Amino acid sequence: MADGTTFLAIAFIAMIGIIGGWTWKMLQRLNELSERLAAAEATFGHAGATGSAESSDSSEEE
Amino acid sequence: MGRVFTNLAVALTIIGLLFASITLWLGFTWAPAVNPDDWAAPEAYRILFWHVPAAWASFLAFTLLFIGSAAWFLKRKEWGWKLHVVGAHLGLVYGMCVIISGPIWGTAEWGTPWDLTDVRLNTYAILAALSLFLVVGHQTQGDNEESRDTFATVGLFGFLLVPLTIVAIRIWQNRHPGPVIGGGSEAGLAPEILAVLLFGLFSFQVLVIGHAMLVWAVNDLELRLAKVQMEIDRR
Repeated sequence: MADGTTFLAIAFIAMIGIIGGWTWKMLQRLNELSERLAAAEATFGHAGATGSAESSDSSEEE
Repeated sequence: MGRVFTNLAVALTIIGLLFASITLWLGFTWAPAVNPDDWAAPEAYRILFWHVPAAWASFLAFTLLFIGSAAWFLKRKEWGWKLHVVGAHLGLVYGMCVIISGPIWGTAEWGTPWDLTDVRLNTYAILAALSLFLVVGHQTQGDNEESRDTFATVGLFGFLLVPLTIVAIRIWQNRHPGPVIGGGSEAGLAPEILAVLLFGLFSFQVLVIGHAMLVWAVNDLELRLAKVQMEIDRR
């Protein structure tokens, strides 16, 4: 039977793993989403500019 | 959601982690040992320096879950839904810390990890299971009004277990130790142990605020990204 110190070590390793691992996962997700949003907004801005150019071209033709 | 909010979330999380590490260090180096005649595994008592603050943090998370669920269910507030998601995530993270560290201490001290006749253990396990159900549910079910209503209802009724869990060790104390703070003269903690425990509670308070802001920021980015992608698809 393991002694109290071993149980203590296992408990703290588990808690550090849960809190540290989850925090790391959240920070990674935050970075990933920021990058994807920036890329999507850049595409949207480009599409918006192209879209408005297309609509002004078509209005000129009319 | 501004850049300042995200930076503050990251800063508070890092400060909270730093304080929690200091609590751990103080718990191992400064807090005195307990009387070996009174405990089966005297060294294992040091689990309480993170176990109790994690339980406190989980109760804060379940409170956020309740407020968010009520705000969504009764007033259809979007911030209420975000708060519900934050509460469910944090309830699961801190709940897992408690549910894992508790039985490890129980094995060392009681010789058994669980006691099915102890009300505190069982109500807390249901609370942790409830947050697991909500987090898994959020990830597997579509985000619509019906699913939000279902999850909000679970969050509302689940909160009833929080006061029950808190008072359980005062009314039906069986195996789980009595309250260490506000437990009267019988709690009998040495001043150094109490000081480290209070610092631990403060550390986890900072950490839970940082984590809550972090989940909020992630949730906000997900909603913004979905909106932009919908706009792109529409064009």
